[in-house]
Amino acid sequence: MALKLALFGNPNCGKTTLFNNLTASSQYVGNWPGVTVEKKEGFLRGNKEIKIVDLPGIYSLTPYTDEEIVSRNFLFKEKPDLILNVVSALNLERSFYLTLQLLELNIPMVVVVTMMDKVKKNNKCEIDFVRLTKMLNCKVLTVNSHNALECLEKTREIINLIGNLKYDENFNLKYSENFEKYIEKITQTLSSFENLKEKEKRKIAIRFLEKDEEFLGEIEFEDEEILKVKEILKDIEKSYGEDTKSVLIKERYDKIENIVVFSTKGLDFKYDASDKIDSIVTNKFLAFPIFILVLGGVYYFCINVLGKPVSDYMACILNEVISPKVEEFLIGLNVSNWLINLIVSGVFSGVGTVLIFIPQVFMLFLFLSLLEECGYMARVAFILDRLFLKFGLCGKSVISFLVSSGCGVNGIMATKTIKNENCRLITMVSTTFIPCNAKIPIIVLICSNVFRGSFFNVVLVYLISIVSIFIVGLVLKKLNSFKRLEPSFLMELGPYNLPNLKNTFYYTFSNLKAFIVKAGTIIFLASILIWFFLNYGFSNGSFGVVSQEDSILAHIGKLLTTIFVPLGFGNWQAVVATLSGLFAKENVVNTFGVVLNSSKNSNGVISFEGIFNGNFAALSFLVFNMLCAPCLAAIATIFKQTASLKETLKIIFFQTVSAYVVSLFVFQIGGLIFREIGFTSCSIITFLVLFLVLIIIFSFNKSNKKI
Amino acid sequence: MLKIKSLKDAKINETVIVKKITGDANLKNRIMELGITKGIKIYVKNFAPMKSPIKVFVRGYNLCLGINEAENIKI
Repeated sequence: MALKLALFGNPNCGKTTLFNNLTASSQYVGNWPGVTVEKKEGFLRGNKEIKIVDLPGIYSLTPYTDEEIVSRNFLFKEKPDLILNVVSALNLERSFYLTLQLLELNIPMVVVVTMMDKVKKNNKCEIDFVRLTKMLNCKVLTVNSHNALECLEKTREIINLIGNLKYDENFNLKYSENFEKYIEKITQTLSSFENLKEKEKRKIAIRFLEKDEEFLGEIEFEDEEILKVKEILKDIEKSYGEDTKSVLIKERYDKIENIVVFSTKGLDFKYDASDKIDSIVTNKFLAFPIFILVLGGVYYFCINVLGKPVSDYMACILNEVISPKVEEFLIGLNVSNWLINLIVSGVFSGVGTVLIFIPQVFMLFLFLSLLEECGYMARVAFILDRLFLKFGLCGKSVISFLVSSGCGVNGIMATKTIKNENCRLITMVSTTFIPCNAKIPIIVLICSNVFRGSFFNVVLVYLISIVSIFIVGLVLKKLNSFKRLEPSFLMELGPYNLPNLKNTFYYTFSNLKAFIVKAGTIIFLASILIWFFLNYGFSNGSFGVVSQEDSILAHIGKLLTTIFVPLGFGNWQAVVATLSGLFAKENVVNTFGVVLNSSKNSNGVISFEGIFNGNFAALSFLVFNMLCAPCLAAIATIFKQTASLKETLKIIFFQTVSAYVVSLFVFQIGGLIFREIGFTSCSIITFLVLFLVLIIIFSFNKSNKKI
Repeated sequence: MLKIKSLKDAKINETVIVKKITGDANLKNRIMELGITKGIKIYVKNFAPMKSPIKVFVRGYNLCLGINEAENIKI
């Protein structure tokens, strides 16, 4: 007999930790609400008969956000055999709200209390599990979710209980006497459900009080019944002076207070330490400087201090040791020339150029994970929310942006937790502006080869990316191109945590693995294709090896060069690099590696002479590649999230237009100021565009006064 | 006329009692489901640098509320 167990609980209560320990899998656990946005399935360790489903954390069954819809749909459509309701001891009262809701669905359930260790550290507390079990009419036990063995043991215990969980069939959580009268009235009205047990009738009555249209819509009622029930509901609203749902919520919390008072002692988690850190980290004057310092520090450390020397060393070894050795070896084997060429100047230059960035990528993911684990990420959302509202974004957008600096796909997924639709779409447009790990190689490549490796230029690219986010946010907000909804911010701020090393390393390595796998597959393939199309083409009516200038790739690139002339990189090499970036951003580096292989000196430094005329052309190229349509994986994610081709195309269109406009500004205005280019008709157009953007930003202020 | 105060007007370290929750049904219910019900005590811990969101302590946990939510919690 196969069994389905579902983990339900509030966000950030330790469900995923429990899930990982039960299924021996390693899903990522973060320290901010909403890490799990989709349900995950696994089997109990060593038992393929028992399936365990980890659902997104929710506060209630009312479907407000995507996560709640996922969890709810699972509950009603896939009907689990047993619910494991995970409850954090840190906030028993709030957690029990969901518990009560779940109990009223009459599905076998066990309540698992986690984080007891954290409460115990603070004070002497006690939970009377026997009493709690009695009061909820549901088995309540505690488990240390970090201890895998204990988790397994407890779960086996629970599974043995299935089928003979001893519940009092006639037991119901009783609300206040007055309210119970109304519930009884409703159950009595449901005359066409005579065969149903009392408990099931009560469930339907409560769904009525919850105004759960979705649930009720699937049940067939007689018209008369509905009319009668509606009358009772009206009565309730009249006598309480509030809608039935609000009354029910209040009744539930009153009940919970009662339960908690009678079954626990000293269960107040002290937030002293966290509050002290918060008073500095979210301080009026210190918050922003600390944020900039932390972020700048992380990037400086990852890219410059630790990442770069290791990368340089690897590049050196690759170019001076491995590459010649392989070539020598292949020549010794009498391999034909074209194959040697393919392997050495195609694959090695292409994939190699990407792989040497492993140290940077590793460090970046490590730090991102640490920031998230300790709880700083949630604070960032807190301090930046108000500021971001002015730009059509919100605090949670920041989380998405920070995650995006690791990988845009994860960043887009993180937008799921943003409730405000308008804000979510603007975040989706701009979240991939943030240079992700695949774009870092592009920045480093250009900065170290064109700008002589100054860290200032790396910072400049990041700054332009961030400023672009604000400008695009403002423009989109003002254009009102996405539906406008009231801004909302409701977020639990959990205590700071010491990072769990197991989690951190899992997160870092799984992302690193993805990076390497990508290099071994997509980029490997792309290298071969690029090498092929770069060395072959039609000349004099026959297909064969041609010079780069005549290759197929050069011809494709030349078709589009005109568009990019105003941006300063109207040459086929740069265009082809940009296009190849659509498949994976590392391809930009990879393409340059192959295309400019001949202009590499012995240290692996690539000369960009002839590609970019002047620093601003190079900067403009960088900016365009940072902002334009993201890679295919990210586009697919956008499509999955919006579930609409129209929205997806709209988002990509906005991204590409933004990229073009910002790059235009960078090259034309920057170049003009620093006398790298002269004043041309392009300059006039640029200033016209700038004027238009400024008008949009400042014009509609009056009509859109609120926030 | 006595102005009805909302959580937005509360001061740091102040403990307030919720009198009423206003706003459209969705917002109101969402706030209530997180534990902010009529009569509950809310302790205001601090404000974000730009005065919003507000970090409060309610029912034993820390909750951050945006300006929109705070305005709808009458104290």
